[in-house]
Amino acid sequence: MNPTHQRASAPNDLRVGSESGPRYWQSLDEVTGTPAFGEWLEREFPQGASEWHDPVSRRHFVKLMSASFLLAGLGLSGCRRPEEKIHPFSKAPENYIHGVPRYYATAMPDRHGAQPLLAKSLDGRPIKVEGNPKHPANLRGTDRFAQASVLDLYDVDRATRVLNHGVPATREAAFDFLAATAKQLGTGDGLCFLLSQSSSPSRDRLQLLAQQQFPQASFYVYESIDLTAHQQALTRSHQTPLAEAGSVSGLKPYYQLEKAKVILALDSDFIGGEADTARLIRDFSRSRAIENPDDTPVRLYAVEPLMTLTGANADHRLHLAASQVPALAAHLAKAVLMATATPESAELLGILGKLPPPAGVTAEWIQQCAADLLAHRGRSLVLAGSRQAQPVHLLASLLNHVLGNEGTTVELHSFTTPKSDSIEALAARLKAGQVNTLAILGGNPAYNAPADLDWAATQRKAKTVIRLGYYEDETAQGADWLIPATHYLESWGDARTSDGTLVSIQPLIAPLFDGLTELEFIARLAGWNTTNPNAIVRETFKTIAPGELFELHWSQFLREGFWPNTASRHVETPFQWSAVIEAVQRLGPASAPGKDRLEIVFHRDYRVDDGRYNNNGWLQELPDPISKITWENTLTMSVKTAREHGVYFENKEIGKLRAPLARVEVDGQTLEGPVWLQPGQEDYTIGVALGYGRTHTGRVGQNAGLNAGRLRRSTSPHFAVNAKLSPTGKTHPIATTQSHWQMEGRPIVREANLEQFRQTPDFAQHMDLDAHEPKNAALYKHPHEKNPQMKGLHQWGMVVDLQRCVGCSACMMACQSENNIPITGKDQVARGREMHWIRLDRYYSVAPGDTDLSNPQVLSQPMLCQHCENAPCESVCPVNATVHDDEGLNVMVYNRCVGTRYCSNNCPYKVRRFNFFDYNQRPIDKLYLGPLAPKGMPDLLQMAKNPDVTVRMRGVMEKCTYCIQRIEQAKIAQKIKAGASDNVRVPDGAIIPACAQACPAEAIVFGDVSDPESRVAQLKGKTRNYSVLGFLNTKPRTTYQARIRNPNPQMPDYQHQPLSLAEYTRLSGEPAEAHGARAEAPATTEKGGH
Amino acid sequence: MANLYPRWFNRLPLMAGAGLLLSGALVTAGAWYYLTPKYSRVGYQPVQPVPYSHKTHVDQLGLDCRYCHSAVDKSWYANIPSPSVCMNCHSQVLASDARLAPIRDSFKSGEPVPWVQIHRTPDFVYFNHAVHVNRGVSCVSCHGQINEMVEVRHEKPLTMAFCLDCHRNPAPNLRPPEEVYNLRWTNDPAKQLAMGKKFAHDWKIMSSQNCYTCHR
Amino acid sequence: MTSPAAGLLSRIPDPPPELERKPLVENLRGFGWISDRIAGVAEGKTPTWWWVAFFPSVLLMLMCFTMVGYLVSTGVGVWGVNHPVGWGWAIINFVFWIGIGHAGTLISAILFLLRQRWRTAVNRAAEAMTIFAVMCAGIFPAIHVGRAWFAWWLFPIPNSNNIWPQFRSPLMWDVFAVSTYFTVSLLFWYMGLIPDLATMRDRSAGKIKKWIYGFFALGWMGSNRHWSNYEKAYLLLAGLSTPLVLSVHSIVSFDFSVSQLPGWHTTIFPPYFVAGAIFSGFGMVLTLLIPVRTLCHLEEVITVRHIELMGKVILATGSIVGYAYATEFFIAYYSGNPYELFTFKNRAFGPYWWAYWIMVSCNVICPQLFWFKKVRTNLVIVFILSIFVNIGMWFERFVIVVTSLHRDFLPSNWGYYSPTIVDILTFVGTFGLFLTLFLLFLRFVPLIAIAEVKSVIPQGDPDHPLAKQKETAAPSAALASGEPGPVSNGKPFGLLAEFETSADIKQAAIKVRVAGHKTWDVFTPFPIHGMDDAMGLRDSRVGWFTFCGGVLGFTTGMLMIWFMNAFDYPLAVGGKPLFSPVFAFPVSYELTILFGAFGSLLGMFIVNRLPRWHHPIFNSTRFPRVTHDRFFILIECRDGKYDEARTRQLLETAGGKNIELVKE
Repeated sequence: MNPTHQRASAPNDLRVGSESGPRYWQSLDEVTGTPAFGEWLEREFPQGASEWHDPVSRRHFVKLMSASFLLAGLGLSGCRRPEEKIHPFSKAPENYIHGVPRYYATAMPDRHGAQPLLAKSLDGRPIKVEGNPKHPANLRGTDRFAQASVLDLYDVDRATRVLNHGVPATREAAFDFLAATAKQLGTGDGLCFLLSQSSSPSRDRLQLLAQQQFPQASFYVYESIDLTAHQQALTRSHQTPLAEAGSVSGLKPYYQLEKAKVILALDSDFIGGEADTARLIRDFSRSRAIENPDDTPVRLYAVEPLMTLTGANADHRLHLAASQVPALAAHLAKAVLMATATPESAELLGILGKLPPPAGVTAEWIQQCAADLLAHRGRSLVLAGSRQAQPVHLLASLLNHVLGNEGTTVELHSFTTPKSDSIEALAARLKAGQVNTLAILGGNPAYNAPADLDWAATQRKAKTVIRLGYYEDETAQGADWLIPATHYLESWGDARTSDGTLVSIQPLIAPLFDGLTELEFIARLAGWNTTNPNAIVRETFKTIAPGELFELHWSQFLREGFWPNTASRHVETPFQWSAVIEAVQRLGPASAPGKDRLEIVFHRDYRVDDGRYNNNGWLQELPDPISKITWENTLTMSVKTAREHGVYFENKEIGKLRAPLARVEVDGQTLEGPVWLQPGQEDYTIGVALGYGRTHTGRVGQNAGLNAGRLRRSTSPHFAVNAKLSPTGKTHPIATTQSHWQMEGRPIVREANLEQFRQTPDFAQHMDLDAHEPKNAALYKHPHEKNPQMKGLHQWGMVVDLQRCVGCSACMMACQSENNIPITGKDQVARGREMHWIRLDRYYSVAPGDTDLSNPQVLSQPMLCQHCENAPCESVCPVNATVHDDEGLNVMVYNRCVGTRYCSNNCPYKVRRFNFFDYNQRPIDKLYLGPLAPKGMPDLLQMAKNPDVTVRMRGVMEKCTYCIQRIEQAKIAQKIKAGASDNVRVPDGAIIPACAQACPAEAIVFGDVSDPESRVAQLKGKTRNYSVLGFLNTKPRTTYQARIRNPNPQMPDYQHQPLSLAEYTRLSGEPAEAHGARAEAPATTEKGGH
Repeated sequence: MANLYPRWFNRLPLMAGAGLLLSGALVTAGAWYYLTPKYSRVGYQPVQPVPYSHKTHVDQLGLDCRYCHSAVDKSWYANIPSPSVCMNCHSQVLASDARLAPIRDSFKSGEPVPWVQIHRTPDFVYFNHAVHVNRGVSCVSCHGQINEMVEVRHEKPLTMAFCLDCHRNPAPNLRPPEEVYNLRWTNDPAKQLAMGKKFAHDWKIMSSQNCYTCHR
Repeated sequence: MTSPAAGLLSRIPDPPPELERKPLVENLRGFGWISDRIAGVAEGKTPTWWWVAFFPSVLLMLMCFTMVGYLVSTGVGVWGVNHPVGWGWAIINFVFWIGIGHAGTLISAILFLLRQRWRTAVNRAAEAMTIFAVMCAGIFPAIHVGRAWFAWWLFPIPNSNNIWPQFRSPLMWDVFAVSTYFTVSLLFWYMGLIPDLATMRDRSAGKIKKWIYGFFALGWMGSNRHWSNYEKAYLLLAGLSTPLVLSVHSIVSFDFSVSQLPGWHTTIFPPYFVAGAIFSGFGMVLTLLIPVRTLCHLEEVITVRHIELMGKVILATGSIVGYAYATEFFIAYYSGNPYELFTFKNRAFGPYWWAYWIMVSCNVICPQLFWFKKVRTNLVIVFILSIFVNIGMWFERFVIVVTSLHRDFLPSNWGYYSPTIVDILTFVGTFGLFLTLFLLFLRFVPLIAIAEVKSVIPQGDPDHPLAKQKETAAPSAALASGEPGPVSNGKPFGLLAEFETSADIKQAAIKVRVAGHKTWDVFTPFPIHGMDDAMGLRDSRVGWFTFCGGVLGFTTGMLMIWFMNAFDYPLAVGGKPLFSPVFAFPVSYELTILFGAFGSLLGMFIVNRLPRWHHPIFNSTRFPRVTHDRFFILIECRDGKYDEARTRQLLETAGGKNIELVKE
């Protein structure tokens, strides 16, 4: 009846390194090539092998699999205890030490490149990924998708079998079919490939090879959310080198935010929604970082219709209808060009002068913004969002050119890619009946292709549709063959990161369900002899690193995860004004949206992207960084819009939150969905995230949210105009993790403008009740002070820099992955029972009188266990289940916990999480059935668990441990190293908690606060350092660094104080006065949410 | 009215009191004996598929612990050797002994040998072998005189109290590092205490009694 | 009904008007009548109304157990608790029931110490209610924990993990307070029951019933030497229960006030909780007794005056509670702490405003009606108001628990709590348990302390003019016939003489003492004021046992906590000292009381040589009336001055009737 701890370990490690020498890559290599997984399985566990292919009842599989420690049978031996067996390896793999994790370099490919990763493998199971710090981008952090991708590997609902017209078939049958098809292809007439975007040189190579072999074959690339608009614009606005035959070449931007001092984002959510966010966040936060009052952080201007993470982090945010952004870009360009006045600009100025100004913006705003950009030539940057049309991008490109940013804040990198066409062209050919064989690799067009293509039906016009897919999804429904695809952690491959560096993708585990990689699929369909993806990647790598040392280079490439010196360089190339002029000439006056002419913005979701992560429970339960809604998307709109359309509602607390359902009508299509009031959103604009409302996906994503894709048109995939909104009178429960949006004047997130910070650098320490003199004092000494022998060698602590944090939520995913945190489902979240150990609190602050919340400032604050020295949770636990350890950690002992929940009640930060049900053992849709529900974690899911962390059972409390398993491992490692010596102090930086490691913004620093040299101790000595609710004398070990805004005093929307500070000052007095809350004006206003 | 109750009834309270005391003592003693790990664990000696004798291999042949348990100084776990380790010698020595048949079968077939687990900490206990053996705690301290066991049995209770005893006072169990795997090594108790204290001081052995040491 | 004493009354001079009080039992009923009427409730044929009440109660009780089973097998999630509201109805109900329990102890102990003699009519039922309410309360802390099967970890039991409970936690204090409270209340109740169980024994016609009642009566024979120690022990228990009752709800309030939440962290809680508990307890006593007095025809014993007095207590405690509410607001404002002030504003005007205003209307406004005597004496209105009091006090706990938790320090945590159907059914089910137990109590145990009531009527006071009035009601068949026992041919034991009034027996006792007898005793249905002096008895020695018990308890508490938390396994907890007499105090205090209570009871038993089921005196066929309406003197043969003829003469001159030689 105690928390079960998973010691299951998969034996795939048997194959990793079992047959070869010290270079483990080699062995992996050989293994994947040779005896297939199934054969091994038959040999090793004959009775279990058949179960493997049965997706649902792999009941005993992991038991059979756990090669080293296998609990078998409960036969009693005598009456003492059950007899348990230890099954050692029959042939121990070399280099394998049970219980010692190994790290392999690999990369997670995505549509715009790849994230270089280090994957942790324990007993053959990849269980965690981190950034690969050796990669030239030197990024330790990752985005939330990479962190959550581990769960996709162990997704119980992924495609596990070959389907032929919906009927399970053998893998061999599929191979035979592919071979037979290959023989009949001839010149490839009627052969069409529908691909997703990829940066893989191997795929490019295979595509070119296939094109040569089948000259009549055609290739199409489709992404539902295409993030390449910048490169299209750059390619047009600059002279581009010529490409070889069969390929196209172009230019793409490589942003260097770290070098920027002023950034203007034109509907560009570069922090959350564009390509390469992890690196951009890192650079942005470095650029915004402020160590000393003399530092000047980057200033960010954001213009956007929706509230995005970028807007949330802006110093000046302008909400503007999407249709007005081009006009704003044009007028800004005009202002800049007038100041720079070059001969080339005259013609353009003439055209720009005729354009009407954008609705809803003062000329002053544009003028001052332009002036600021001009004042920072070469250190400014203009970014256009990928959902904006080409003219905006071309104007951004022009501005960067004119402002001298090319080569500094934006590098132009050239690239080539094989020729391909769009999905619209493919649809036309399909409708014309010209397609015999259609191979769909990845993607999910039946779900997310523009509605006017009617893809599900169009797809069937091909004679044969072969689908390589990760799920039995919508596209697979209309396919003749479904062949399961591999996860990247099971795949051989390669990719290029955003800077062009070649990275390797190598498997950490053999394909669990016999999936194929894209490379193998193409090779088999083309009928080639070499189908082994490893061989294909080697072949490609040979073209990049030829020579006698190939084997050496190859192993280095795999070991390090990248091939050095393959990054692209900035190319100087002439600017082509004509392209901009041509585009601007086509810009007509765009009417602003109105009450009956609403604009809809379809946007990439922060959690499920375009739907590709729809079945990932961690991401589904991840609260949207802005709205904090989980498990679905909504129709977001401003308060005013909702009021005018009769769908306004009072935001109730978690537990009784129901949103009205509204109906959106555009071009005869309707969509019903719950309304969400989004502060700061442009009026008459409706935002709706893509990626939900799936009809064929796994159990997690099925029926979650609404499918906004039904309203999309191929002509305008990102916006719809002239929409109408009407109430339906129905309501819909919403599961949000934070319903109260304001801080009530409490100084929880402390911030100031740069000016004030320079005047009073320690303003953050003079806020709240602890600013009173005399200071709070404890009645007694801490037992560690009174009994010095109880105090340990290290004293752990953490600093969270709110100046760096952008709210991206990667930490939450990392924590979930590292600490075996279960998901609880929408129903439970709606009841306030999510389990996240670290959460991101998001507050809005608004000016008095802004009842429509139209211009809020947004604050994010990671909130996790504060590890208080005087922890209130501890003294109320009756069973010593939560106590302090010698190094200052607030310890939570699951096996001692009886579950009184008193600790949670008494935690001022409410960071403790209670297992109200057996979330790990029971299906989340059958929690209320109790013992009648099936018990046990799906075996596949067990493999995703971190064996170093207990899997908690129901009835126990849990919380952030500062990743105690990492601390203990580091301490043990240090002690083993010390042996018979006293060198037991863990060096600074040796321990990085999962959240800190994943944080792309480098906002979280952990270390020994008793070591004055440590980074964390030094940060704690900074003036921006403060404790949340310090007046309670809890003495948190987690402290925060106040946020500093850098608004432009010349701007019309300049606020001399951040709004939250203004509210605090109104209620409690100036923080600089150093006596904090005045007794005569203590009131906070009761507004009860919006 | 007559007396409802016989005369002896008046002695009932005394009798009940004595009975209660007696049965209480019995229950306590029984629980103490049968429900404590001392009884339920110590002495556990299941029949193994192969009657491997540590006495023969360690005491008589002088094998080092790490020859078979090769990961003990590197990992959480002291691994059970695979048959190939046995076959290093037994392909020549006793090559056709019937007792070794399971080993040979496993070596050939790949089916693991189903050894019966003897020492096992609960799921929620994280015990690391490497840190103990590298810091001067011998195998003997927790496993007893394995070198003298013809068949391995559970020698120490391995309860939380057992762990705490040593963590509170490690001195009696600290040895010179080179003697950790020497299971015959003994020391004069008085000298041992002085030496253990010196080691604990010199090596900064701060064996922790904090919960996170073992539970997380 | 014409009273047989009507003629007598005319002869008594009227007391001065300011001293005029209504008698506690109306119509000047005698000892026998009291026994018959009260014992009759438990003896007669089961009335229909009882079955009508009992079946639904049992069903509700079973529903409660079903819900508990579902909860334990499925998880605490079946309730409405969440983050941030970690405690919901379970703790609310716990505090509610514990509060209800307080009236019993207050009536029996505090009113006893304050010599409020009207308590005798209601204390038994109130004590029973206390015990049942504490049982209902005790369910909730046990099941509200996530892993109920490990709840025993809250007890300091040695184990092989070397880990102990953590005594800084108010929940540990609760464990000791509530279990001490339950134990002491049970002891107190049982001790009060012993003479009445003897009455039931002597009245029972059926052999089995007689045997069972007799077994639990422990051989009680109404000896004045016993009464003397018994009364001392009772007084000591009352003395111990008084600080106990104050401490229990104080400690329950510590669950809140020791933590940091705005709205919980306040020093006003202990007195405010105690007042509230008494308030709600009296509410429940009224809710129960108003129908019971009618249904059981006890209007003459539980009089309107009793009801009125309880109404006054409710008015007083309700006003204290109202004052506490006002103080909380004032302090929140005056403290200048914005978090604190917000919490109180939020209580009154936040999402749970309705709960707050229900609380205020029921607890503060409704009881103000009790200023009017017309209201206090109108049983229907009192009954309705008593139910309002119960509702109001439940909501008070709801307001404290839920509104403080649902919006605390960081607005990002704020949430809302609603109960689930399981919450509701479990709570309703505990009323089933409560009523089932109470109805069983009504049917099997005298619901009013018979002996005590006898002692407060005028006839019970030997110095009262009415004391010479003789009982005229005929005793029940079982008593009147006095079954002849087996022919006793044992040794002579002593001479037994019978007396009819308390005045007679006192006079006789004086005579026997003056005659120089030492080994003799007086047997009475109730303790007679002044009898100890009449007999020349020394003060009881029971107090020494109590004292030793108390000292032992306090030392045990302090040493145990020091050993467990500071010596055997010192752990840094909340930055607080490893040991401090401050946090060890509540538990040691409870143990003082617990061990003291054990000492008192044990002392009483030891000094009285009880239990003693077999005694020669029970061989007398007339003696059973000693628990009904008669008084006896027994002079034992082994007394130095015993001489059968002379002693018989002495007893005859003293007014003894039916003198018989009792044999062993």
